[in-house]
Amino acid sequence: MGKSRTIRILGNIVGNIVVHKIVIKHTNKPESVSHMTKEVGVYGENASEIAQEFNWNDEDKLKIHMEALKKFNHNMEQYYSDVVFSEKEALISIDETIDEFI
Amino acid sequence: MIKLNLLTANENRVLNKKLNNQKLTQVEANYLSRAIRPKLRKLEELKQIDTHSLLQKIEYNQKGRAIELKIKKLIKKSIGKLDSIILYGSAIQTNYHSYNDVDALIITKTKIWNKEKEKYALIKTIKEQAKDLDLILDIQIMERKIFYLEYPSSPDLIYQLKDCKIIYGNIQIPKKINLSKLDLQMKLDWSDMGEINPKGIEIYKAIRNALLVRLLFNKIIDNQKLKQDLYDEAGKNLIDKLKNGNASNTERKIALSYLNELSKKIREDIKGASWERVEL
Repeated sequence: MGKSRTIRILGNIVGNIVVHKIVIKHTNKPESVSHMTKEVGVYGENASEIAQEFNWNDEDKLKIHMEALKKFNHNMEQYYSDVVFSEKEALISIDETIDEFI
Repeated sequence: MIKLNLLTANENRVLNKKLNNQKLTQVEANYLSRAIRPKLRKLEELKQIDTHSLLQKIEYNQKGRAIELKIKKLIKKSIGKLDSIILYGSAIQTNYHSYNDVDALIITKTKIWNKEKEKYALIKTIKEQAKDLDLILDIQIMERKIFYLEYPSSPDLIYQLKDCKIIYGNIQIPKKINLSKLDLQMKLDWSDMGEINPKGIEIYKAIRNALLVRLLFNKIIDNQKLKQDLYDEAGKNLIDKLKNGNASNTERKIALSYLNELSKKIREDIKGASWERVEL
């Protein structure tokens, strides 16, 4: 798999995870999606397995961050437009999730 | 003349008399309603059961036993705070008759990793060791506490562990399922392919994911039905091509268009549902 495709996939996965973290936090749902389940398997393998195919420098991580933010904004607007959150918490959560998995 | 083995000679005689529109005595009419009809209804029920898979499932399988022993030995050696090992997926569903890999959920007593990437590094190591033993494993690792917390609202775990086998430890699969509309919505989000030009297998998994959400929305937990729905809805030929990576560009486009319509419809159904939470 090419590196740029991998970056887009990882961005998608991270973006989706962060959407769910924010939605759970702001909808009083007691359960937490803190781990990456097989659900990310839609993209072939899971994020950390895909991530292990390459070495990631800061520039790559920034690209993943940007892709994740794009996915995050799209899904929040499209599916969870009633959820109120701060942009800052989303940005922090994206960085934390990248650090957790990649 | 019809002769059914599950009926007695007398019942067969009465059945044929009735089929030939002959007048029955009161005793014969009683036979018909109290013995013949109930037996035929039972037969009708049996027709709904996939007896082939049922027989496969209960058959003693030496190969399966050997595989499970290998898995148990490997995981016990690799995981320090091992609590339980649960096998699931097609290997278990078909009693090792038809499968590509063996799915294993490893439950640990406590969290043995700091970051998720450490967990995946561990999974990678175990998978590589398994390959040396001619085993293709697909592994998940989860802490016991998290397993119990997440199971009731995790569409994935609910479906995966519908048909499973605990080969080590004393974990109990919770009986209570408590899903919210939000759980289903979030699960459906994983079928959204975004701007990635997806591969056949990715589209296949996204369609499967969406159909799983639809089944859960309809309160159905049935892996066979999920498989059947995949074939019935998108066509066996297309599904197999997507899965095996030999779908053409046009076929992938058709499948993607079907996926988008399917997801849209399910999302609307979830949104419009009058319930917030479903207990199964």
